[in-house]
Amino acid sequence: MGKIRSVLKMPSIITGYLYFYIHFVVEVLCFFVLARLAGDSTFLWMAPLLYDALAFVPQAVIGYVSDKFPKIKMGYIGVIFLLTGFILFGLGLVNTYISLSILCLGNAFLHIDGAEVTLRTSNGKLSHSAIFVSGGSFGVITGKLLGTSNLSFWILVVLGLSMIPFIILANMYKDDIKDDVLKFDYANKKMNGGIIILLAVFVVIVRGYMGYGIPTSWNKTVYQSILLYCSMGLGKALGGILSDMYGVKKVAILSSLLALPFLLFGDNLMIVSLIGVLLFSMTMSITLALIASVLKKAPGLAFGMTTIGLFIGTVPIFFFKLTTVVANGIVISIFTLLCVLIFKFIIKGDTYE
Amino acid sequence: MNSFRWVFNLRFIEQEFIPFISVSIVVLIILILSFIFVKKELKKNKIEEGKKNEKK
Repeated sequence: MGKIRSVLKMPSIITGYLYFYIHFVVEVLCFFVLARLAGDSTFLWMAPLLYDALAFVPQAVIGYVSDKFPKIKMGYIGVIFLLTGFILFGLGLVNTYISLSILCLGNAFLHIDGAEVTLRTSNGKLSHSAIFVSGGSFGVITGKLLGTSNLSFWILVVLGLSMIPFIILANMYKDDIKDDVLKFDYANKKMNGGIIILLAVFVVIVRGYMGYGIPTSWNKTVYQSILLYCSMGLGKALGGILSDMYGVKKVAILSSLLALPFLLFGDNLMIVSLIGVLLFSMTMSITLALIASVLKKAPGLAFGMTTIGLFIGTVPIFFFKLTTVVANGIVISIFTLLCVLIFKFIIKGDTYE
Repeated sequence: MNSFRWVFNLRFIEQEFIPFISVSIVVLIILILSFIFVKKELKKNKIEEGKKNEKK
């Protein structure tokens, strides 16, 4: 417990907590809109695809611009876009595609600001960015639930405005950091940087696909859905925290291997499946740290590469489905073992105090 | 039993052709740009590493 407490009290870890909240609110607003659109058959297929494309893919370009021009405050631009898109959608003033696109861009800008803030203030540790990314899972399920309720969208506008002081404070911490080179050093130096990025993105693609492909027949009630997303969020945060405590390589390989049996045999057993989801989500911050170890001067671009991976991983879901548990199990097993092998080669040996 | 099923229906694209094509083009352009940016950064890394090695 003492070890966890010392990680959770690391210098500048507050940026992770600040961006946990901001990320949570961003996803609440976005998934509120997506849940409202799910009732419309025209958007049932297109809205989630558009969201994945316009919220995930542009992050690499926005991130690169942010890396090159650090004086541009991506967080403020993000809030303006997000709230404009949200209000336009709520009032129905423009075509839904336009408001949804603006909302997605706001999401992308805020994600990049979160990545820049947490990676730059982390002093080479993973916990900051892991806590930041974990907030999204809690936001997704909250947004989905609120979207299916009768809640007025104006209440969520107020929630959106509450992000502003958090963004200001987080950016103050970032501005205190003078060194523009990240202290991440987890990638195997004997390997080519480009190959490390490609392989790390491949792991993200697999995780993106599996996030939807995991067999969860047990998930039938609202309460069970909440538990599923909470274990995802908890896993993402724990991945970074445990990596800082015990080493990136150990956590990456062990969590991937241990997740496999729990995911395979958890189709009808909620607790078993939840443990699997928690373990499987742990690699999120590790892949980011690996790419950031190669692109040390471009944390925004590094984060954007992971979101491109997530997009590529989720695209197949819109087109085909594996319908039997056996087929799903075979795919999950093969890809997990591949990811373990990749981690074994691209992460350098753990040297932790 | 067939373990694979297409959930995609061409009608989706027919209904929403313009948004679908626009988003596809945007995604493609951004993917290419991202690839170029990463390559640029890697090249920069290599040059810096070379300079460091020369100093040593």
